[in-house]
Amino acid sequence: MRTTSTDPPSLAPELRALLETRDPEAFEASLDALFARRQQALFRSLGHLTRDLHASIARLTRDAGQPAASAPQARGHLRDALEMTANAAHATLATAERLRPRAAALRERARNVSAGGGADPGPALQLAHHADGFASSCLDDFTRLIEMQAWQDLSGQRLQQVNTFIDNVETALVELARLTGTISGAPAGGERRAPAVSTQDEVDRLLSDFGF
Amino acid sequence: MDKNLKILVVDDFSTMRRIIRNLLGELGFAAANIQEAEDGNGALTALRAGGIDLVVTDWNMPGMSGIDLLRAIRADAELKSLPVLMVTAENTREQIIAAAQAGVNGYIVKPFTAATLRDKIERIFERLVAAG
Repeated sequence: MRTTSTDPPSLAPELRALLETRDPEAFEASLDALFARRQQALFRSLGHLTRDLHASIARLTRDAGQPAASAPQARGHLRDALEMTANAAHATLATAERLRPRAAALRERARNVSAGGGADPGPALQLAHHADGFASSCLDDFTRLIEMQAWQDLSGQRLQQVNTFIDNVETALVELARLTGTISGAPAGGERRAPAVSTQDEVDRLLSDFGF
Repeated sequence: MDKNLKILVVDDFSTMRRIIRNLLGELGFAAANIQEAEDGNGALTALRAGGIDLVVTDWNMPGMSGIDLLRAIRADAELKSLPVLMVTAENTREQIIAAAQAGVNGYIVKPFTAATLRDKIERIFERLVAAG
């Protein structure tokens, strides 16, 4: 509860002078003048807020709606990135699936040659022939794997464009939230995501409390 | 670990299904014993057809999510004891605890390795054997 005092130290000088006025007409005139000054300040603040709000809405409309429909473009970029990553992953997996059985067969042949003790040069020569073929396939596939990494650059460029678009929209929205919060008196703040448990070890520690 | 287990891999991304299938193959599981589903609804259909020993599921999928699939499995008299391994990028404490409370048997965060996958599958079946 606010304390009362006959002469509070925080009282504004203009209010103190008003209270000390003994003439009723002068008191009324001073009171009107005080209100008029306060109203002018309030209207000036409202004017600034209105202009800021208008500018923010204009920026949001411009960034979200232009140039040439950025939101559909952003969705298109994301679809492209998704497609590129999927293609790259499938191509990489296909390479592994193609090489793995050939590597397993080569290992099997090598073990058989070793078990034979090397008395007969025939199997060793065959093994060398197969090893040569496998190594050539590996070299070709390694080159393809390196070439395929271009997806990261390509999708990265598209994601960067989407990121810039989101940044613009976010800046405008935050400004709007701040302004509307200022007008309504509500604090401008976003919902916070629950803290993440980033590593498998942290997940395991957390789950150990549940008997895992 | 029984390498003849029949495993259902549930993920909306075909690449991730393929990665898990490959890693399971590397761990010695037969390719013919690995089935796939794109979301919880497809998984339930496959599970009700019978024969699956382990479910490896993502969390975030269109249609029926992984957590809803887990709850549906635990609520189904025929499926309720089926082991479920969650393999997901969802990694908040709340989500992990929710999965544990829903009865998940193991939880792996993406990205992961074949060694982690083997470790979690082994531990699931060790616990099931210990529980009798």
